[in-house]
Amino acid sequence: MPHKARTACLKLLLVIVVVVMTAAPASFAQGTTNAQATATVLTALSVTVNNNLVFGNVLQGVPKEIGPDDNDSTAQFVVTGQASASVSMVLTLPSYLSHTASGDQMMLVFASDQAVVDTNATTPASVTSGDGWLAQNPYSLPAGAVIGSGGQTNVYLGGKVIPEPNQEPGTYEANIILSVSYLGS
Amino acid sequence: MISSTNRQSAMKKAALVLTVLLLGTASCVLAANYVVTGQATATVATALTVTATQELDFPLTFPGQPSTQGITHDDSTGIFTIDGEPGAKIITTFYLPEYMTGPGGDRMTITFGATDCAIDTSNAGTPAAFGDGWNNQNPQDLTAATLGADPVIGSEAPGNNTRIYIGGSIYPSIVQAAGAYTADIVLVVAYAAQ
Repeated sequence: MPHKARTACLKLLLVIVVVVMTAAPASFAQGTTNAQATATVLTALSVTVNNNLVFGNVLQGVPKEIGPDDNDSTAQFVVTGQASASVSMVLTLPSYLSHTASGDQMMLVFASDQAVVDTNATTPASVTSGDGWLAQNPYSLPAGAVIGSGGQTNVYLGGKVIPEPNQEPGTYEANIILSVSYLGS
Repeated sequence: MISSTNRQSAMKKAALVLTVLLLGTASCVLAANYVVTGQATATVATALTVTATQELDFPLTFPGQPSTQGITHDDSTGIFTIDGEPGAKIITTFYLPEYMTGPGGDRMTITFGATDCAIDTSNAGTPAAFGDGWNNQNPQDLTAATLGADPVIGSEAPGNNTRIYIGGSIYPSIVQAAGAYTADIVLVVAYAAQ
């Protein structure tokens, strides 16, 4: 094709493109409709500590155990959220307590039956198997855990300290972390 | 027609978009994680200490003449003092010698009778004036089964301690070398399960 003819074609094509671009908004304006995106965010999760795991006075060389059924000394976590929603719950557990002044360490262990998941939000002393999951491994809480039908699930935790015969007297502490998230069902 | 190179490029882009979407989804799950921190707390009570307050001191004796030191002598009965958590149960165990060692390594027999020990949980008691606890006990057997219960750290003010008195007997031979004889009396104390 001669150079002039090819240049003419390109100009024509450019004009067509400009016309199409100009026409395009007009074609959208002819058929407008509105759709909506909708969603409902369900009740937010909240996790609180109702009671710490309290061993009280411990004697040198004498282990002391607190079960998951002691209203005064068992650790109690309260999880609230959307009733009956599935949740993932993970406890991050310490392996020792630290002396608040010197940092001296005292062994802390959690047996495989020291956790309870109570979907009826009763109490450590009164929870039964019909309320949820008894004698659970705190390192692996039930995969099918849910927020109770009343919008609340409690987690109870016991443990055992093992002081050395020459354990330094004084106050010891450790953090116990509970992480909870919705599973989407 | 899409060339092979273009198809691979398109697949890579799709994989990248999918990866980004998955990462986005995972981020949402992490963002919905709720965390709370509770505490485990404990207080280690008063440490146990055991002190040899007074030695078991036998009076001068002659070769071939046995001698006994009872548990009622304020100045010569053996006395151990145990301090710790008031009222806490304890386990006490004696490791008693069978002989005393004297000049040149000469040995002299020593024995402990079935009533040569007392556990005094009062603050005011002395060997001569026993207070509360377990009197006239066998130092070889201070178990709860024998005593009827675990002994405890005294909880009477102001001492809040327990003292153990111990006596014994020595049997010098007729050719016992003259001189001073000694032996170790070991008392081991630990807290018991409460």
